[in-house]
Order: sequence, then structure tokens, then C-alpha cells
Amino acid sequence: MIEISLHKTLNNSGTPFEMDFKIELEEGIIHVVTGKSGAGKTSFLRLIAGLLHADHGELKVKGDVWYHSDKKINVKPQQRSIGMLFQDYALFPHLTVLENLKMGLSKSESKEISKELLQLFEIDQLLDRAPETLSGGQQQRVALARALVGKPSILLLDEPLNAIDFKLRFKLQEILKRIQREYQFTIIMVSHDQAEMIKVADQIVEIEDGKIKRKGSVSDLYSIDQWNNQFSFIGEVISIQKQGISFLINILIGNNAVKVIGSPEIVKTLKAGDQVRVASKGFNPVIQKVENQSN
Amino acid sequence: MNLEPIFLSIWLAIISTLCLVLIGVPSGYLLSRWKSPFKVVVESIISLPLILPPTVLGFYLLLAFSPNSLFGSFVNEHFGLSLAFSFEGLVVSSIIYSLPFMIYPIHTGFVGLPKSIEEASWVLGKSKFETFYQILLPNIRTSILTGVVLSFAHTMGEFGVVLMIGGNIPGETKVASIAIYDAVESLDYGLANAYSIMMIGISLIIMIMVFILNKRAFRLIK
Repeated sequence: MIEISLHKTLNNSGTPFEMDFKIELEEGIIHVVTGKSGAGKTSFLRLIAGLLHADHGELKVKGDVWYHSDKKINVKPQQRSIGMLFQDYALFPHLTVLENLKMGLSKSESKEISKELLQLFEIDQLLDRAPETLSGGQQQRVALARALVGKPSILLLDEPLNAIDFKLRFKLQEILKRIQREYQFTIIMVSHDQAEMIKVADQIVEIEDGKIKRKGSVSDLYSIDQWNNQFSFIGEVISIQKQGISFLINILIGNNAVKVIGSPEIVKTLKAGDQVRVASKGFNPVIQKVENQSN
Repeated sequence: MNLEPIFLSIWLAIISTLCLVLIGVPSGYLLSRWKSPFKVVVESIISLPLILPPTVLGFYLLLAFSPNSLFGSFVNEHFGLSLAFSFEGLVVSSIIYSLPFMIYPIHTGFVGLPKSIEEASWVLGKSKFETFYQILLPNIRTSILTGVVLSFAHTMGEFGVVLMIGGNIPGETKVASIAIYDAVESLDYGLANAYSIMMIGISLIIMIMVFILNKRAFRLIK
């Protein structure tokens, strides 16, 4: 269990912003932290990492005290078993990809980086490159791999999948789920994207005004079950075409594009790139076995 | 022709620049991370040599270096040095005089580095010291190089402060700029010309080296 009870007042340009986080997080699952911008999500991660010093409170991870204001315990970020993916990836510009990754290994560990990790993130061909020469998606995979080489018990991700396109995001979500299941560490990630939350989160933590508003599973918080009688998917609007009096909306769900008829009223609220829920209400979808399946 | 003033100038510039690197790198870092209303005061004091006439600085240094002053007698007692009219005095005054030329490029370099690089290194388990020399310093090497060149060149060209506190002692304080002035005063234009041409040559070589090094430094980063 990760027991958090941390209090911190930030002084941003003269206006004090009070944060009071009290929550217990289960280990070995993916927690998605969500909330409006400026609610304190990044500060929440930084407090856990020890990059932001709490004013008072307690932080216990698996029974180890990382921070205790009364006992004057404050374990340095270096000694907390964490991996962190920063919003700007924070790759070291003067080092190659391989050298960047090696920075994550402690002196006592072997100098070998697991091949599995390199292949998983598809960066085994990039090892001699400078970070500057990589695309955004590649930089992110390197940064993620670097955060993981030291085998942290908690992985903190600050809006990790925001800057990349839908397809890459989808792939990284898959990888994240896979490695999390394989290595059984805890992931705490900040995300705004509802589709992403539904896809990866085991637990959702909502933050509002520097406080934990609520915590629960996806279905607890978003009552998906009431909404979708038969089926429901989250997708992204690709384009909207006018078709007589109605509109044809192209939506990307996972890797498949689907066409859905939309009324002018609903189209008014939509634009390409928006996240939408595609659900059925009145009818029962037809299910048919697909023959000649390759797998 | 006596080449001593030229060598003395180069030697003074080398020693002062070395001392300035040792002072400038940590203080540039501290200044870039320091948040306080007094920061602006400290920055202004460091910048003073940029606008003060060298004679003002030289005058007060002369008073401070005098064996009758508190500072002068302290240095004399504890280090056995007399700073007025000596090479050591020139080194100390060059350091003060060129301080902004070293600290500001380094300060700017540190400020330009994203904080996340430093924090990422801590989270990866590197101590603050390891982070400083393995991550931060290599990323501001062009700033350090700029500081080195500016300080070196500034010290080579120093005149006013040297005139005030160094006098004109051959082999001790008679640097190239003073030797040129001295030669002109005694109407030896040939000697003044020879020294001047040498100074132009040395300055040109330094600048060419800088441009080459800078290009290479940029290539290494890319």
C-alpha cells in the first residue's frame, strides 16, 4: 500500500495554493490521476517523487517511510525507488540513447540493459543516436525505457501520451499495460484523456483544487454500465461530412475507422480530434463468427 | 626586442582565467538557482566593472591593497604577499575586473537548461554532485568556453586597473598594454608598433580558435 498524507502550500506569484492529499493507493496496479489543469496533479507526482518538499505529513510505501515531518524523515529522490517520465521527456542532450539508458543503472548493477526492454520499446535500432535526432514518439519511448531500466517500484508518468498521435498513443498504452502486468510495479499517471483512462486505468483518482475529490474504478466513477445498454466505445473524430440533411461522422475506434450518422445538433458540438463515445441504446448488435481466422 | 611584456600579459591572462573558471562555474550555478530579492543587488555588484571606469576600481583596489589597510595587512600577514605593485595584485584585480565576463555566460547557460534534466538525473539515482558534473556541466560547455575567451581577452587588454595598482615594474607588472603606452610616451613608435602588431596577432589567433572550437562544440552536441 502507498499511504499518502501530504500537505503543501505553494506560493505562485503571491497567491497561496493549498494542497492536502490524503489517499491510500494499492500497489501493483495502474492509477490514473485526473483533474482540471492547475488542480495540482503534477505537484501530486512531484511530492511522491520527493522533487517537491511537503510542508508536513507522511508518505509510506510498502511500509517504508519516505517522508515523515514529525520524525524529520525525508528520503531523497535518489533513494526513492521511482521512475519518472517528465512532460518534456528530459533526455540528456549530450548523451546518446544508450548512454541515456545507462544513466538509469546504478553502479552495483551490471552494465547490460535488458534486450527485452529495448525490443519492447522498439529502440534497439536507435542506441547510437543523439536524442535531438529522434522523433517525438521515439524520444518518449527512450525516456520511458530509461525510467524503467532501474526497475523502480513506482513509475510516475506526467501526461505521458499527450503529445503523440492517436496510433502511437494506442500502442504505448498497450505497452504500458503489458509491462505493468509483467513486472507488477505501480503506475501513477496523469491523464486528461477519458479514452485513455478507460483503457489503461485500474483505479482513477480525481484531484480538484489541491485535494483528492474521489477515487474509484472506471465504472464506479463514470457509470459506464448505466450508459451503455449493449456496447460502448470511445473513439476520436477523424472527419465530418455533410450528407443531405444529416452528417456522416468518421470515427477512429482503436485501429478501426467507423462511420456513424449524426444529427446537425450533435455535429455542432464536434470537431475533428474530439473524443466521443459511440454507444448503442435501442437495438441489439448482431454478432457473427468470423471464418478463416489467421490466429 | 624585449618580449617580456607580451609573455607577462599572456601569463596574467592564463592565471586569471583559470581562477575565474574555478570561481565562475560554482557561483554561476548558485546564482542561477538562487531566489531572493537580494539577488538583483548581488548581480549589480558583480556587473559594476562593466560600467565603472577602470581607474575607479584601480583606485579603491590600491587603497585596499595598501599594507596599511585591513585587507592589505591581512594578506601580508597570512600569505606573506604584498598586493600593491605586484603580479599577484594584478591577478586579484584581473579576477575582480573580469568577473562579469565569466559569470554571466555561465549563469545564462545554467538558466537555459531545463530544470527537468537535473531532476531526471536525481530520480535516476545520481547525486547532486554527479548530476552537476555529468549532466549540467557538459551541457553548458559552450557557455564556459565563451566565458573563458571573454575573460582571457579582457585580461589581455586590461590597462587602466594595471596602471593604477601595478605601476610599471619590468617582469612584474609591465604587461603589454603598459609597455605600449610606455613606448609611446618615450616616442619609441617602432617598439609600440611591434608590441601592438603582436597583440593584434594574438587576439586574432584567439578569436579564430574560439570560432573553430565553438563550431566543433556545436557539432558534438548535434
